[in-house]
Amino acid sequence: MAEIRPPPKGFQDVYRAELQYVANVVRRLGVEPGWVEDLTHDVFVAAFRRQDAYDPSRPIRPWLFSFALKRVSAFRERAQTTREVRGAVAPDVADEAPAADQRIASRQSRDLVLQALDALDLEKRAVFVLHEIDGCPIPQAAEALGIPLNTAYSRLRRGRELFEEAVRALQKAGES
Amino acid sequence: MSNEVPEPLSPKVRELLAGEAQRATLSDEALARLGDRIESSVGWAASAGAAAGAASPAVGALTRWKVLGVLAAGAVAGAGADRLLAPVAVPAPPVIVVVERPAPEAPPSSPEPAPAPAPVPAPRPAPAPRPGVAERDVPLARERALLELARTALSRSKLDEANEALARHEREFPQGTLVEEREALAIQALWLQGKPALAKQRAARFRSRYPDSVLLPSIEPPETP
Repeated sequence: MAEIRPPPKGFQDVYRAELQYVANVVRRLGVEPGWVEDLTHDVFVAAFRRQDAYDPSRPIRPWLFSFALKRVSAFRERAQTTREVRGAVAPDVADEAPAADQRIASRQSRDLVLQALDALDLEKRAVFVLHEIDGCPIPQAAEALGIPLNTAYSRLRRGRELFEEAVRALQKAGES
Repeated sequence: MSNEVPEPLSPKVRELLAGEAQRATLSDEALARLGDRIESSVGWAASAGAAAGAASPAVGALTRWKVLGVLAAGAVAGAGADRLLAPVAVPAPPVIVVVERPAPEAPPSSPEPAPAPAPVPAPRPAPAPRPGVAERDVPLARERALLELARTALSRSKLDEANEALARHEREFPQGTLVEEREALAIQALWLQGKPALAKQRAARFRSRYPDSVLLPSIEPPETP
């Protein structure tokens, strides 16, 4: 698991360094590529407006993750009431890291991860992504997400099960 | 429920996730463009310029109005001003789709405002548009260019130019994608023109229409030094 970065001294000093991280989070929480940039923008604007609530003694990533989760949650709710629905927007692949720089296998692995994550609802997905991909310890993840520790473990446990099942199913479907 | 550690993931899945942790979603170009958009939204674009010639205000206290005030006082010149006045070459947004504007309701469980339309990004050399996307981008690029003109004029206290750009945007895009941004700039212009009654009236309408807008701070009365 990746190591959590130490906290920054000032939000303005580090926000550019965390742009990719937040974009990754937004994508992994199920936002289509064409909307990632806009949602990431909104996350940082929201975080900027609440920067007084940021505790610089704490890692910044879980804090940013909590903003990302709120924005993505709101976005998904709103998307259900509009003609913009997940999957209806053509992926803006040119705004992602160039595919030419990635091996095909890597791209397929990402697709597999993202598709498997779709098997998790947003609550489990958030805990799973924050812990399993970002490397955030569960107690810290629970704090960042504002949920009890037991709930976080419960969601992680179920998230792992669902993710494993989804990966197996997707790989099996790919072989047939 | 208990907090006992769940069963570990299989080695195959762990490897899969380790690979995912190393991947990047946005290209360097997209990240640079995004950074500029954020700076433009929160006022850092101008503060970066201010830093070249004067001490930057504390981040926590920085508002767009303070930035405008600094600019209007002529305290910013050189790179920062040049950047604001650079030819408006609007980068392609991620995706241009026709989307019905959702009802401006914040989710019940979220104290944060809902995602708002993309604000006008800071000028930046545009990447070569891709076929197909370019056609869809033209109107939005035009919208952004006009609003960038207005924003730049406001920052220089050239109110006539700002109003002209805003009027052109209203004529050409009465129901445009960036109406929210246009309204916010128009309110700023009213404040700067010394028309507080009109500014308050229009700001009230703005708050009613866009209760979750990230631009709400920008329509407040300018702070006096």
